[in-house]
Amino acid sequence: MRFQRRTVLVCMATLALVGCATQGVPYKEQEAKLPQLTASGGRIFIYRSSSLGFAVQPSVYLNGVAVGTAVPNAVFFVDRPKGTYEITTSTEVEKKVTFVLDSGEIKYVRLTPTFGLLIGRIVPELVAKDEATKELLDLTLITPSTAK
Amino acid sequence: MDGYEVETGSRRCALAGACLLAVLLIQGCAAEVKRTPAPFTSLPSGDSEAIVTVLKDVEVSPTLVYSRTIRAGSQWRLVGGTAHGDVYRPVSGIFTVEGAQVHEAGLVIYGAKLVGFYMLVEKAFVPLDRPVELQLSQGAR
Repeated sequence: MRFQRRTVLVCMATLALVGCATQGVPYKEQEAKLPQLTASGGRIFIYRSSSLGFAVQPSVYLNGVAVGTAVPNAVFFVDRPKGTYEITTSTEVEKKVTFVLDSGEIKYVRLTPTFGLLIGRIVPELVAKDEATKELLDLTLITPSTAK
Repeated sequence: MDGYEVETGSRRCALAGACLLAVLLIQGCAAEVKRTPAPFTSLPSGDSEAIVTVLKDVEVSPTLVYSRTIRAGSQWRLVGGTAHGDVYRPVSGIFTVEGAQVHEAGLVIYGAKLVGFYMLVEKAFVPLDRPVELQLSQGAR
C-alpha cells in the first residue's frame, strides 16, 4: 500500500515535470542571433514570464489569427508590417490589447495570469522595452509554430 | 462564548469570501473605457520634434477602475492633433488606458491641461471628467 502511494506520487511528479518542460532554447542564447527587422516592418514579442496558472494555456490571436499559445516561461515573436494590431487571449472571458506598430519598432506583450471566477485568465499587456528585455532573459524562446 | 466566537468566525469567513468575490467580479467585469470617435491629424514624419517633459507626477483616472500616473521626468513627443487638443506619445516606454481591455494611447493636451487620452488604434478620445493642469517644460531635459 505504501509502495503504491509512493509510485503514484512519483508518477504525478514526473507528469508534472514533463508538463512543465517548455520546448525551445534559452532566449538569452538566441538574442544576438535573431533575424534583422525588415525596413517596412516591426516585431512583436509575446511572452509569459510566470508559471502561475500553469494549466491555463489559451491560444494567442493577433488580429484574429492564432499565432501561438500562452506557454509559461516562454517567449515567441512575430514580424509584421507597420499597422494597428490587436492581441487577444480567450479563456472564460476575452481579454485584448490594442497597439500601433511602426516600422522598425519592437513591441513587447506580456501575458499575465490572473484569477477568474471559474478558471484563470491570461491578460495581455504592453510592457516597456527596459522592463521586457530583462524578463526575456529568463525565458525560453519558442517559435510561433511550436507554440501552437 | 464559544458559540459567539464560532459565529463571529463564520461571519468573518463569509465577509472575506464576499470581498474576494467582489474583487474577482471587478477584475472580470471592468467597464469599457468611455470614448468618442475623434478624427486624428498626424504630423508629417520628421516634423515630430516637439517634445515636452512632465515636471510633476499626475495621477488620473479615465475610468473608475484603473488609474494612470504620468510620471515626472517622462518625455512626450507631439505626434498630431484632434479637435480636443494635441496628441503626445511617450518618447520611450508605453502608455495605455485600461478598462475591460487595454489600449495603447497618447496624452491629449489643450493649453497646459491634460484633457484626456487618445486611443491610437480605435482613433477615439477618452475625456477626463476634469482637465488636469500639467507642469511641463518644452524640450528634452
